[in-house]
Amino acid sequence: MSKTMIEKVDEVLETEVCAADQKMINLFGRLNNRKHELMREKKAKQEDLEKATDSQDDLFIADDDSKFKYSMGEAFLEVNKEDAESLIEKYINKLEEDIKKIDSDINDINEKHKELKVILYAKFKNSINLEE
Amino acid sequence: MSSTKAPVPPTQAEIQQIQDQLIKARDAFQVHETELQKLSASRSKLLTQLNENEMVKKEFDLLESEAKIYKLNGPVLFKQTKEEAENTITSRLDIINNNLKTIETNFKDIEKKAMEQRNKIFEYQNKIRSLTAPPPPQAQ
Repeated sequence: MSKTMIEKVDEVLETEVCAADQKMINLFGRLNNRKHELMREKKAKQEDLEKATDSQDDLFIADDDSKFKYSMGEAFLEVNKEDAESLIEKYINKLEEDIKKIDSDINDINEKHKELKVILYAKFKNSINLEE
Repeated sequence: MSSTKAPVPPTQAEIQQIQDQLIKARDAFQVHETELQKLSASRSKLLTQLNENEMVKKEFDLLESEAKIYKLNGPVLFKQTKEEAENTITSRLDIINNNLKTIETNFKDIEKKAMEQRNKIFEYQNKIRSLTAPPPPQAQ
């Protein structure tokens, strides 16, 4: 056991870390945090979208002369079926756009991660660990 | 000079084999532990939901039969009859209780398996300890 440990230590390269390298490592960390933030945000919006879609379906099968209370910020407005349908459609479209934007942001971060990994692994090899 | 040969120590291969088994048992144990943690989290969530729905049911019992009840679905409030609302809550409570029972059963099964792996780990550790103990000193 201890013999293996000693051998392992020898394999680790003693590479010097310069200021530019440290900046890249820090950037990787910040991007990683941002990515996880975006993923949480996306999940929340997807849940909202699911609820909104259910709501839209319920509106569709409701009586034509019904009145509904639609939430606007902190308040609820009484609206007729037609208005409710158009409002919820706008809401759903906005959520879908938001989710697309988040997806493209995440893709951008993934690209930058790849670039940074290529550079950092080339220099530090197995003595660095860049987990996402 | 004639000398008595020392007792043959166990081969390195034998010790390695037991160590491999130990590692497998440890990994299996960890898998079980992870599963148990997930089940605990699910159970907590269900208990929270159970409490919420039970409180709602109590509130419904206090209401008069013509009370106005609204259901919030996304951004829209839908009108509901008291009967509809009560049925919804009742069926939700049934589902939650069934899920809790399932989780309880699974938890016990996996806990038992984890215990078995734990015992195996101790067994292998003891074997290794006895095999690697230094041989008694030879008389001159």
